[in-house]
Order: sequence, then structure tokens, then C-alpha cells
Amino acid sequence: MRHVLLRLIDPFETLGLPATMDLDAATLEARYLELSRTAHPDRNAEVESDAQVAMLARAAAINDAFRTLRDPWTRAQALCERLAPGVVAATAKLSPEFLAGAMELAEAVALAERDAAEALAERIRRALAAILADIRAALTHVDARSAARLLNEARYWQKAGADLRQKLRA
Amino acid sequence: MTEAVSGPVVVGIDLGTTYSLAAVMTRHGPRVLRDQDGEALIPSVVAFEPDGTLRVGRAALARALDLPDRTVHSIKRLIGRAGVEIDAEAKRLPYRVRRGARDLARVVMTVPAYFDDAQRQATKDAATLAGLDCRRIVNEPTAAALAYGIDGSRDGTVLVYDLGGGTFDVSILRIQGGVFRVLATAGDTHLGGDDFDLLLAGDLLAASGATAVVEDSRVKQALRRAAEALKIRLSDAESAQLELDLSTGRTTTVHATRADFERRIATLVERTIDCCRRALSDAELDVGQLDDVVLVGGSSRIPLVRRRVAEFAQRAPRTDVDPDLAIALGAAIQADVLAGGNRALLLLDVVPLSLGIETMGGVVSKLVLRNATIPTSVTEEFSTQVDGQTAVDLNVYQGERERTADCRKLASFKLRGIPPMPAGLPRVAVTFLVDADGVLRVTAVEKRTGVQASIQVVPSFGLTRDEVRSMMSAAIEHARDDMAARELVELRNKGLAMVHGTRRALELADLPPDEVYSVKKAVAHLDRVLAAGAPVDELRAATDALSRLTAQIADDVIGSAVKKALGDTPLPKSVLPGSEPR
Ligand SMILES: Nc1ncnc2c1ncn2[C@@H]1O[C@H](COP(=O)(O)OP(=O)(O)OP(=O)(O)O)[C@@H](O)[C@H]1O
Ligand SMILES: [Mg+2]
Repeated sequence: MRHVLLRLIDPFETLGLPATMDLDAATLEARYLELSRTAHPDRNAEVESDAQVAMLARAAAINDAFRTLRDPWTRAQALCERLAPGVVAATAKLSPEFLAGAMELAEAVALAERDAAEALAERIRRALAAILADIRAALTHVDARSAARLLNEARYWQKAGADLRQKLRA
Repeated sequence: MTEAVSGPVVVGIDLGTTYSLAAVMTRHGPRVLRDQDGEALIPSVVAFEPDGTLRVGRAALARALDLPDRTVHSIKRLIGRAGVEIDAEAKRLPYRVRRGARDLARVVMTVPAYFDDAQRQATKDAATLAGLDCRRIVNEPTAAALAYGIDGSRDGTVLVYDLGGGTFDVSILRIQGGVFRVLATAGDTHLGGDDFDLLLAGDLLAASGATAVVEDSRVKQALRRAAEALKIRLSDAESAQLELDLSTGRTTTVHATRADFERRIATLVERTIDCCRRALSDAELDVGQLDDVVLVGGSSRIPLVRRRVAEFAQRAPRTDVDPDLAIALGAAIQADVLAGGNRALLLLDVVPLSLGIETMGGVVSKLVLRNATIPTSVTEEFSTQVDGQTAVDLNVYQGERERTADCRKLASFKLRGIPPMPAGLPRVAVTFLVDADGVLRVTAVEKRTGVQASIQVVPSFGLTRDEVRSMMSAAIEHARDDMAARELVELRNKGLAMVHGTRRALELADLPPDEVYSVKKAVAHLDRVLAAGAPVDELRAATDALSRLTAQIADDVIGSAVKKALGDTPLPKSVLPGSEPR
């Protein structure tokens, strides 16, 4: 519901990794630790104070890039923004058909009793997996618009999943 | 200090609720500092003598029975809660750090992982007031993991369970090639051995049948001490007894069994296990993926605690470092890293609680989520609500809940000088930067014009250094009143925020007239109570009454917002509260 600013610094560039959905988790982590080891403020406690500001910004960028790339959804978003800056916000308006379906989903979550909840959770999981596969496909075809629209649709499923979990906990 | 220390020294300090201690790195590894009697644990107690003299540590503890009204225990529970001033003195440890070439002693201080931003700031300020240069704030469980000879040479995932006198903390760390990365932390800043003592003391009092004397603070102190002594014995024995001196000249024998005691504290212990569960789920791990479980803190010696942790973690916890010393030793190791002495280790710590900004309707928009690795920086864009709005209010909150009323306000500032524009047109970019100590800085820029404002977040009661100093001397006279005052201040702040927030929410929300009427009435009442400077009880009754009313309404409003979100127009950008158009 609010517009997230584009990252000024591209997370793939920050970590020096290829811009693709298919990042290997172990490679990503190893790269992150390697960079942290030299860039973290603790390693540079004695540098001049104006250099320290830049140091802090760099260390923050490395942490934030790792967080973004570790999760496939935010990774996909970063790829979209790389291909077409602003595209995620530009595709936020979804079709009436999708929204009608989302409304039904929200109602199903609100009404779900304990025994129906597990089936519903499974349905949400499967839907999200399918959307993610479609996003991957769109991105391999350099179709940032479709990928971004799918990302916006995924939010409704994610919100439904979170609401359902919350409800089960209560 | 018997061992030689060379090079620039940074001292690690574990400021505990019940005991404090310090350690440094030597050629032979980290060592705790001891006082002239060879004691490493310094009681975190301050005594204010009637003549104005101040005693700390063991000397203060010795006065606790004679001066029950003038000794302060467990001061850490007050840090950053408008009681900042006192702890500065508490931190004056009875040993002097012998100064090297540099004048200011450089230290690393530990805080519970769950300390919020205000409490971290207050700890740093207190160190400064005590003449120390605080180079880093480290989370206690993280420090403990460092000490655990989990020396970075063996990779794995570790859960650190720290149950002390006043606080409970749990952290999950991953160690990879010398990098200690915190994956998640959880805890409770008001849960520890002190609470067990109180429960047991209540039982002892009930058993002695001497309820009439409970108002006598000497008796209360004696009871608490007896309870603690019994509790500690019950960690080794199935039952224990003690002669209790009830000041009336009468003595009585009190006894307790481990089974009864364990039953008494079971729900509190279960709360710690719930925190462990939450930390694991935040770290996206299963219990089976833990390689080690480490117990820290005096209260982790209680057999029930060990049993429950072992059951939960499905493995025997490690206890091979003295749980009293682990945190200070770990702080010394981190101090050594900062002094440049150890280039093999690195700590990557996290933000313990989410940070966000208030948007219209008293909702907190989170920018930094809990357990984000620090340093971190997040920017998001907001806009205005009203045509011609020339200033926006930036109210910074900390906490996991949705509404400002349920989160803690850290700071507020204004971005002024926005040229009048139609609502929604200004683009206010808000940046949260959290540094390696977990301390927050917030910046706001209007992108079309470039006007900007920023703030380094200080505790919400926003004291200047001078104010802190003068409060410090005042505190020496009013050590006890401060605790009551603190509650009053917190309630007043909450009340003011509620009046303000609810009025704004009323303008926005579309409520049936009868609800508007009853809310307005409750707000007006609270406003009157605040203006009259009413006592704590009255204030609490008024805030509670309003909370009950608004909770229901908030549910309705949130419900309708969700409906709106599902309509076919996307919601506009979040808008910030601000001044009326010119
Ligand atoms: N053998 C024992 N059995 C049970 N409790 C014990 C034992 N030894 C110490 N304690 C309790 O442990 C607590 C002190 O623990 P510790 O020194 O770790 O706390 P702290 O660091 O001062 O406080 P915190 O970490 O909460 O700020 C006290 O409540 C004390 O009564
Ligand atoms: Mg402790």
C-alpha cells in the first residue's frame, strides 16, 4: 500500500554477482561473508570519521543486498527494477477479475474453520509456487512487465497466507 | 590485574541486573578483572547514605538491610525508562580501570538483546557520564556465544539461552569461518530470577502467617533475601530450610521443596521456551538444525530450566563456561576485535525490534524489520494528506504491533518548508539508518524541492546531557520516588499520545454517530484527567477506558481498509500526519 523507493544501489552489483533468479544459496552466502569481513565497521574502527560514514553506508548496502537476494520474491523484484525502473509500482493496478478472486480468497480466510484451514494453506502455498515459476519464466524472457504484475498479484496471496497463520495462532 | 596487557586496551563490561563484571583480552585469552578481595562479581547495587555519600557494589549491598529505602537493586530494569540518571552511578564499578596512554577508558558494554533503542542510548550515555568511552554495545547472548570457545574454528548453528536476574534473552547464531552472524533474537526484558524470588517470598510469607508486617520494607528485604537463598539451595537439593528474622524480634523457620518451587515458576519458564520457539521460527530453522545449545545466566542453573531447555532443543545443553562469566569474557573478545587485536573474528548483529514511522490514522509503517542485520539502511516514500500542507510530522516508533498506541515512541521531528502543493504530490523520502550499535538515525527529504530534516534518535523523553546531569544529582535524593515517577511519566505520555491519536483517527474514520459520541466523551475525560495532573490510578483508569473503546473501533476501521484495498483502485501512498494548510 505504499510505494517503495527504488534501490539506488543494485544488490547484484553490490555483491558482485550475476543478475539472475538462479543464484546458488551457498555462493550467495559465501560472497556476503567475504565482503562483510572487509567492509564491516568493526574492521575499520580506526578510520577517519568522514570515511566512517561511507563505510557505514557500504556495510549497510551489503547487508541489505544480501537480505534482498536471499528471498526469491525480493530477488525477483530487484531484477524487475533493474530491467525497467519503476515497473513494479506502474503495474500495481490489477484487473477486476483478479481482484474479485482476491476478495473471495480473503473471505475464505476470514471464514476458514480449523479443519478447512490446512487445505486452504496448502492451496495458498501451491498458488505462490506457481506464481513464482511464472515470474522466473517471464524474467528469462526479459518480460519485466509481466513479472512485475505477477509480483503485485502475489502480494494478495502472501497477505492471505499471513492472515491465515495469524488466525491459526490466535 | 595480574596479567600483562599490551597495546591499546578495550575493556568488556557485562552490566548485569544483579551483578556486573569486566574482562580484558590478555596474551593468554580473555580474563575477568577482580577487585582487591579477588571478587569478580560486583553486586549491581547502589546505596544513598543519608549524608549524601554514595556506595556501590558490595559496600552498598552491606547497607541494604539498614537502609532499605535508600538502596537500589536491579537498576538495569530502569535503564532508559526515565531512570537513566541513576544507572550512570551504578556503573561506577568499585575497581578503577587503570588508564593507559589514552585518557578515556575504552569499553565494550553488553545489553540484553531485547533492549530497545532508548535503552541502548541510555546505556551509552551512562557510560559517558561515568567517564568511559563506549566503543560498542554488544548483545549479551552474542557475547556469550563468543566466549563459548565456539571460537570461530568450528562452524555451526547455536542457540544461546540467557536467563539472568532480571532479563531473559535468546539468540540464534550461525558461525561460519569466524563470522558470527545473529539470525534471530527474542526475549523478555522483565523476566528473570528476581521474579522467582518474589513468587517464593510470597509463599514464605503466607506460610509464616505474618501478613501484617509485609508493609515493613526491612521485612520485605529479609524475605526476598531468604527466598533467593532458598531458591539457590534448591538447585542442588530437593528441599531446604532457613531461619528467618522477622524484625519483630521473632524468628521463624521457613522451608521449601524443589517440587513446589518448580510448580510455582513453571509458567514463567514456559514463557522462555515460547521465546525460543519464536526465535527459531524467525530464523526459519527447525530444532533439528541446531548444533549446540548454550546456557548462560545464573538462573539457568535451576534444574527445571535445564530440563525444559534440553527437552525443547532435543539435546543436552553445553555448560562448560561459567555462566556468570561468559558474557564479560565474550565482551572482552569483541573489545579485542575493535582494538584491532583479532582480525579473524567478526560479529554480525541484528535489530531486535522493528522500527517504523507513524502514518495517518495512528498506524505504524515499518521500515526496518526485526532481525535485520546491522548496519542497515532503508528508504521509503510517503506523501501528504491535505492540499497545501507545508510540513509533515515524523513520529518514529519501535515494536511489532500495527498501531502507534501499542508501540513505543522513540522520537519525533518535523519536515517544514514544503511549498504548498495538492495533497499526494509531495514526495517525502524517509531513510532509517541503523548503525553497528543498533542506534537509529532518521532522515526525511522532500524530493521535488530538496528540503530535508534529520534526527539522531534519543530516548523519547529526549533529555540533553545537562538535564541528565542535573537529574543525576536529583536522583540521589529521590531514588525511590523515581520509580513511581517513571510510571506516571509513561502513563502521561501514553495518555497524551492517545488523546492526540484518537482525535485524528476520528476525523478520518467513518463511524456511526453513537460511537463517535462515546469515543469523544472518553477522549474528553482523559484530556481533563491529564490537564488536572491526576495521580497514577485515575490516569490508568482513563487510558484503559479509552483503549477498550478504540480497540473495537480500530478493528472495524482496519476491516474496512482491507475491503478498500481489495476494491479496484489501489490505495494511495501512505500519508504522513502534519500541519494544517496555510
Ligand atoms: N544456583 C542457582 N540457582 C538458581 N538461581 C541462581 C543460582 N545462582 C544464581 N542464581 C540467580 O541468578 C540470577 C543472577 O543471574 P545473572 O548474574 O546471570 O544475572 P544478571 O546478569 O545480573 O542479570 P541480567 O542478565 O538479567 O541483567 C539471580 O536471580 C540469582 O538468584
Ligand atoms: Mg546477565
